[in-house]
Amino acid sequence: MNKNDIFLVLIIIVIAFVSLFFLINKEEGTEVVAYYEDKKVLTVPLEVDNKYIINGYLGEVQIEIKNNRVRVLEENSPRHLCSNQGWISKSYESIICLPNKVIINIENNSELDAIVK
Amino acid sequence: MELRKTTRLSMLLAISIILNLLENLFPFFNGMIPGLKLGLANIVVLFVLYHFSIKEALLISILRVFLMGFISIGIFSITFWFSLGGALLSILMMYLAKKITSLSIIGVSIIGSISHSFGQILIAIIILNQTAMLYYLPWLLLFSIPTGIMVGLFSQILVKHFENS
Amino acid sequence: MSKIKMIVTCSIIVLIVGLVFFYTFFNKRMQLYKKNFFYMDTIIEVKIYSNNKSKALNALEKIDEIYNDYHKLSDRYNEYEDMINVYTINNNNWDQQFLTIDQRLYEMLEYGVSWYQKTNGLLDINMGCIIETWKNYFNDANGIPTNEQLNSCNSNPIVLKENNTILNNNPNIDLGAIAKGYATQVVSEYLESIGLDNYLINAGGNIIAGNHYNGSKYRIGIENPNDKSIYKIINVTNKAVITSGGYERFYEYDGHRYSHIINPKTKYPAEYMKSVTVVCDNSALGDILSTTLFLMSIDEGKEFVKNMNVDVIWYSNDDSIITTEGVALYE
Repeated sequence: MNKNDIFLVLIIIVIAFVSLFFLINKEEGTEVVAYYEDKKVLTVPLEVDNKYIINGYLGEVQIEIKNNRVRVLEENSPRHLCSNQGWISKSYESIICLPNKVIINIENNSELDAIVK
Repeated sequence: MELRKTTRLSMLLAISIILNLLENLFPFFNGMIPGLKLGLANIVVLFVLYHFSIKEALLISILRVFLMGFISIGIFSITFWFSLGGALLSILMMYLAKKITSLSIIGVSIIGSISHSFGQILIAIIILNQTAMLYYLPWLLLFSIPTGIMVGLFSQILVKHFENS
Repeated sequence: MSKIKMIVTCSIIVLIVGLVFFYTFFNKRMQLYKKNFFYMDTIIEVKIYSNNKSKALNALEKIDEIYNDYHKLSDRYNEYEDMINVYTINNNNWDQQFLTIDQRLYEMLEYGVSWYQKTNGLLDINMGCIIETWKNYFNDANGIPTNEQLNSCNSNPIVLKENNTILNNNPNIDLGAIAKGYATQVVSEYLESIGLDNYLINAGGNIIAGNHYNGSKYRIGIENPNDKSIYKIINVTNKAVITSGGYERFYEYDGHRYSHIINPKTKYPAEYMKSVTVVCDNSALGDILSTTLFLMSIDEGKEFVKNMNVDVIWYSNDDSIITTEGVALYE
């Protein structure tokens, strides 16, 4: 390992932290959005505890929302990476089930905050 | 291609597949961050890049992805494209790093590890139209340091060992 | 690279990393604290965004109390122990010539009465009898009151004296047009006073928005009075948004649409428009203005708000949308 390598490592650390700083916005997520391939297949509020089923490439992907968090409960894939990922709750987090082509994001509701009638 | 080289490359291809399978068998970082892995197969790629050239490294890498496609991840499956994207970008970047910078094999390995993540994220953006993985980039960058160093050290040992053969 | 350069680079890096750590560690994330209440015949949804959990939860408790108090004080149908509320003022048969009432109720009455003059009698908080007469028909939608019924409503005037006292002459107070907006304004001022300025309160369509938790704006949809769809979206912070007239707030009888907002002068529901939405700084004011504007023609309304710092969106009877100039700023 030479000096340049050390320099590279330091640069990476700086870039990582600076991008961390910019990417992690302080917003709370408000809804769970599930995608199959690039299509939105489910949009549900993060506030309501419930279980949902998404049809993935290799079978059903069951997701659970509880206490403002979401996780993949059951899915059929070789390595079960996404069900092992556990809970996510912040608006920049996502669960990616590649073999099932399913992506679960927490997003901020761009819908209405309130309605007057 | 001479017989001796062909045999060696075949052996290396086999080793890279075994390392790949091993890594999938014992998912060290399972479920922490999407896209995070040790990248053991990169030891072979790095070695080939240093011992032979980029042509052989590309050959081994592409063959590995295809064979892995047949063996476990499924040929032309979405995971397949992710692997291919990561592999190609990392070889290209490692080649450039080796050629135009004065980084040692360890630095080159770190570059490879990072560009592997980048490649996967690019594929995600292209195929899935998803930028969600971008959020994990900082973490992938940070993790690429220890994994890159480890892979680099192994490759360094190998390259030294086979220097005169 | 020289040694000095290396040291400088390293220390800058350590500094940046340290700062980022420091920032993420001490800058706790904003959380949403939300509670629904049921007062004044409506669901009140209060959302507070804060990084101070106990403060936000305490505030929600306190807001519950505030709404509860104003609900009881403005209640026209029930009496409560140890409290002189609107019911007591309207219905007591005590000998006292004056009643000493809760300061908050006094101020609310004062506010309502003050607008009687300013609106040329269109905002009348002393027409409980007329409202009640219409209400009986409103629920069943099987007719309209007769002129005799409406004319039999004769109210004694509201006479406010000094030191929170009111003449005990059994007037006919109904605070329906102002209580929600007024209480919501009180709650919003309370939140501002304790430094929780990221909030959104929706008291049955009587909305007040504070700062937005991430610096953007709250998106408020305005409902189409015909079919409950959203016909307009406005983006606001630190504004009150109030609609009068909307969907389900009228009944149809004999092919005619009767709104629940009664013109004190004609004693009949207003028919100038289908709904009107007011955007202004104060929820109590907005509540009063939306009611008043509903009782005026659109042209009169434009004239009325001309010198006020408010913006208005009218949904006319022929389904066209008319706005004041300032509304464009919220789009």
